Amino acid sequence: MSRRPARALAVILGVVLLSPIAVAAADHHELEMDVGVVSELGEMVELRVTLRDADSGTRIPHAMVVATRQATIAGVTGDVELARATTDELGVARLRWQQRVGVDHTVVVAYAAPGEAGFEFAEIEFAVIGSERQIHRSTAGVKIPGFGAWVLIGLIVVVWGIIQFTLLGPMLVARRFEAVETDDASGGSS
Amino acid sequence: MPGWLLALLPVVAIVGVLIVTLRRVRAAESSAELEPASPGDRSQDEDGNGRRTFLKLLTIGAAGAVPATFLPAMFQSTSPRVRAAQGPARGPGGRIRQWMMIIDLRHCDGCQSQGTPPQCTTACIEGHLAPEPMEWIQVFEQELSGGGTQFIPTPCLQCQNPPCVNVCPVGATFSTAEGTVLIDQKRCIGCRICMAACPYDRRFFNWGDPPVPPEALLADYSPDHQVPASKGTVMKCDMCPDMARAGTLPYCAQACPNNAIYYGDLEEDIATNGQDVITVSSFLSGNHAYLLKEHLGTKPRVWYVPGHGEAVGRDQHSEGRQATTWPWVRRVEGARTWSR
Amino acid sequence: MESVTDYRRRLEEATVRPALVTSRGYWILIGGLLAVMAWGVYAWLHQVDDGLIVTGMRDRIAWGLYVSVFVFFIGISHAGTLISAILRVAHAGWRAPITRIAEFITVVALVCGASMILVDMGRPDRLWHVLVHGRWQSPILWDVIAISTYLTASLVYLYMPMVPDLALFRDRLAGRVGRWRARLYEVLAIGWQGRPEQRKPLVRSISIMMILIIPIAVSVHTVVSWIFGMTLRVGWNTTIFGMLFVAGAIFSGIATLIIVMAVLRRTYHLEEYITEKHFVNLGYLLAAFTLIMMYINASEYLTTGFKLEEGEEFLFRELFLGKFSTLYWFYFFGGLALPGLIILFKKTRTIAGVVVAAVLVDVAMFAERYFIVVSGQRVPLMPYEPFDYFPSWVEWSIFAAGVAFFVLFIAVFVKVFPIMAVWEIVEEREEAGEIGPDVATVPAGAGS
Repeated sequence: MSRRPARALAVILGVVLLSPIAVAAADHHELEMDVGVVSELGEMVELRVTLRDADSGTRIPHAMVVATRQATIAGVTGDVELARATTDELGVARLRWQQRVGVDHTVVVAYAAPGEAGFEFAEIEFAVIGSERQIHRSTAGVKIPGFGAWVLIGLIVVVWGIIQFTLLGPMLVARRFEAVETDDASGGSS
Repeated sequence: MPGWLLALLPVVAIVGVLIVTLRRVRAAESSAELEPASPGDRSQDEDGNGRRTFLKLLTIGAAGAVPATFLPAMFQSTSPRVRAAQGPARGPGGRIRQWMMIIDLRHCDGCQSQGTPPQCTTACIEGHLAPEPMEWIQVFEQELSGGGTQFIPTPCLQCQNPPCVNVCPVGATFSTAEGTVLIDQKRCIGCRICMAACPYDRRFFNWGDPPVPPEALLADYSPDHQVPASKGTVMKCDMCPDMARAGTLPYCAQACPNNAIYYGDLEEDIATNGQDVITVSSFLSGNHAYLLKEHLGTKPRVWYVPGHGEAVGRDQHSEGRQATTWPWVRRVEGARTWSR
Repeated sequence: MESVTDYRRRLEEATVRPALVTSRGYWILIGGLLAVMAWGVYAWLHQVDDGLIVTGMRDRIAWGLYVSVFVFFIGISHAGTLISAILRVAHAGWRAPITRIAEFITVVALVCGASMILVDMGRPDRLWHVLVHGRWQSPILWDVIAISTYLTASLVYLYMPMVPDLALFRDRLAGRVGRWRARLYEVLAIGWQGRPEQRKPLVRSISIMMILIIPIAVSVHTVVSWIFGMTLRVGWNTTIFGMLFVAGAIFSGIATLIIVMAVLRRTYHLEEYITEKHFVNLGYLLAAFTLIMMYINASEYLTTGFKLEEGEEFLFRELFLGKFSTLYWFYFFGGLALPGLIILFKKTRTIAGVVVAAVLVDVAMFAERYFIVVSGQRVPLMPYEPFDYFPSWVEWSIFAAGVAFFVLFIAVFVKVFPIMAVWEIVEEREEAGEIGPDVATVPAGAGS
């Protein structure tokens, strides 16, 4: 959770548009994706996507775009949906999700123009920084006793100390007895 | 210094005081041994602040540190046995997994369609050799307002503010770095305050000698793998940490015929029911998942998607499920069981 | 007016007599108590062998008779503090003849209560875990600390005012009792000769303890109540438990003291020193506490009942109309209202009347401990049928053995240790002007 100098750099990079990556995955559609490829763990990722016709170059509105990645948990591998959106009048869609992966990974963007059957796919690589940061940290039962426990300990020490101090009373009683007997033994009287 | 040695300090102090006074009395009786004292002596004794008294004061005061007994335990919140074991499970990138479950009640019909006792419970019982009548994941049938019932499979909810961990006097039950709650049967003293504290009825006591199959006797007990069970201690669902390490789903999630149980990691925000892998956060918010008795503030890690088995064709008015059985217990000769 | 010396001599005779004269009835009583305890030990061994399965407890009601008896005995232990410490602080002189008995009861009750918890543990062989692995955040550990602190403080507070009386025993009983007993008195009397230089440190120590022991005692039963109060169970999840338990403890403590006082007074002919006034005064205290208990009960049940949150309605039905109703209404009418009335009316405010009230209170308070412990667990946490708990023969046997242990301990104490605080009584009588100064002053306990 410590602030790293690289974080500031990543923010700047994230804002700056890299050269658009255009991948022609099918014959007649072209997807343009604008995003900083470095993203920070725990921060929101914003992937801006522009869909246009490959031949004519016209923007395609009302197209469905879905971002997924492959993940494995408990031995099961599958595609996890990260975000989905529809392109607007200008053919632009914004996909937003929180970055939860701690390693570099590939995100697959599936898109389908309205009226088309079947999706076409594009890929984008993500490099992730800040990956040592633990978002959920379990603290229950792991923490060392807090202030209250120390107060209690202090109180108990004081109370037991007082109790044992009062035992001095009987000891002094015995001592007085010895003093008296000493006087008697040596012939003196109290 | 070992705790038991520190605990002896006050005993030593009190015994010491008694011995000192006894010797005083005896010494005074055989007065021939005493040095003659001048009248001035008594005035010094009057104040009671001779050097010997001071030294005695010091001993007594030091022994007042009875609480030092407990110091060693304060800095070990978890059983040394577990701390020494392999570290917590980690995801890609090295972050510690935060295990959680989502139980999709739309897909749970109490195994009515299967005609068997609930298979999540059966698999758990067999896999963990849970003594009868323990159901570490128990399928409760809850009445719905408006009529009908729903089935609620309830494992240990692995609370983040666990009442059981908070009250345990010896730290036998503890939270792990993965957020799960385990029990060390080697430390449990059987006081059962954790059972009084758990608001979900998820803890089970070994009232008698639990039946132990022969193969279990060879197992090395650890809180991750509660075999063999021992009399006079508490047990519960542990969310299968041994299965997690092996990279598979817990018994209950594997066994569910409708894939209603999702098991996953809050940290990486993914979960699976054996078929699909989902994003936890959007699944929870999109399906209006809730927590059991959330107002109690226990912060469970098991979410429920409301339903009554409608996605697998159950109508809420078909009530009743098969009673759970413990087949493996029959294999143990002379096994003694008890009711819940 | 009788002189101090004469009065003291008579009082000393009365105090020493129980240690010397033992009737046949005493031995029969001891024999019977030992038999009950032997049966209890047999039952306990059976439990150690088979496990807690021999009890009626199960997962859904995991605390039953043992824990109820534990709370009951720890409650009784507040007798000593109230009489000895609070009344001493308040300079209520009338407490002098009964302080010793009260302090005995405290120590014995604490030991009995603690032994009940040992019996309830699933793994008593692991008791040392509490010392070595103890967690300061646990209510059970607070309980262990509080009870051991209170036991130590009570032992110290019992012993110190007893020193002059032990010196009396040392002097009067030398040659008339066995060698070990004579040695015991000699050692414990730590050379007491009644000299002023000896009195001063002892009186100072007693003064420190009398102030310290009051908050310790209050904390003990508060902490015991928090074993239940720190959980989320319906019926237990309330902030009033601390007050309820402390008030109930002092209440049952007074009642037990009245009963033990009456028995000892009759048996050892202490009518001159423990008079009707003592019973009436304790009766007033008992009546005051019935009002306090009623107030606390009303606070808890009226406020909860007005709202009736989930689970509370079920609990109330069980408590007032259902399974526990006999116990509850006996507690309320037989244990609170009736004793209060007995003491309210002058006609019934006699020794016999007060003792009857005390017996009712003790039985009712035991019932209260029981229904508080069991009803709190009766409310189902999840959709299942409420569990029916009833103690088994093992639990009843061990309970009986615990009570027998209590009586036995007191009977033995009475034989071995002085039951009257001679110097305090004489002091009080002098201050009250009932006895006059002597011609010659004789140091207390120095020969006879």
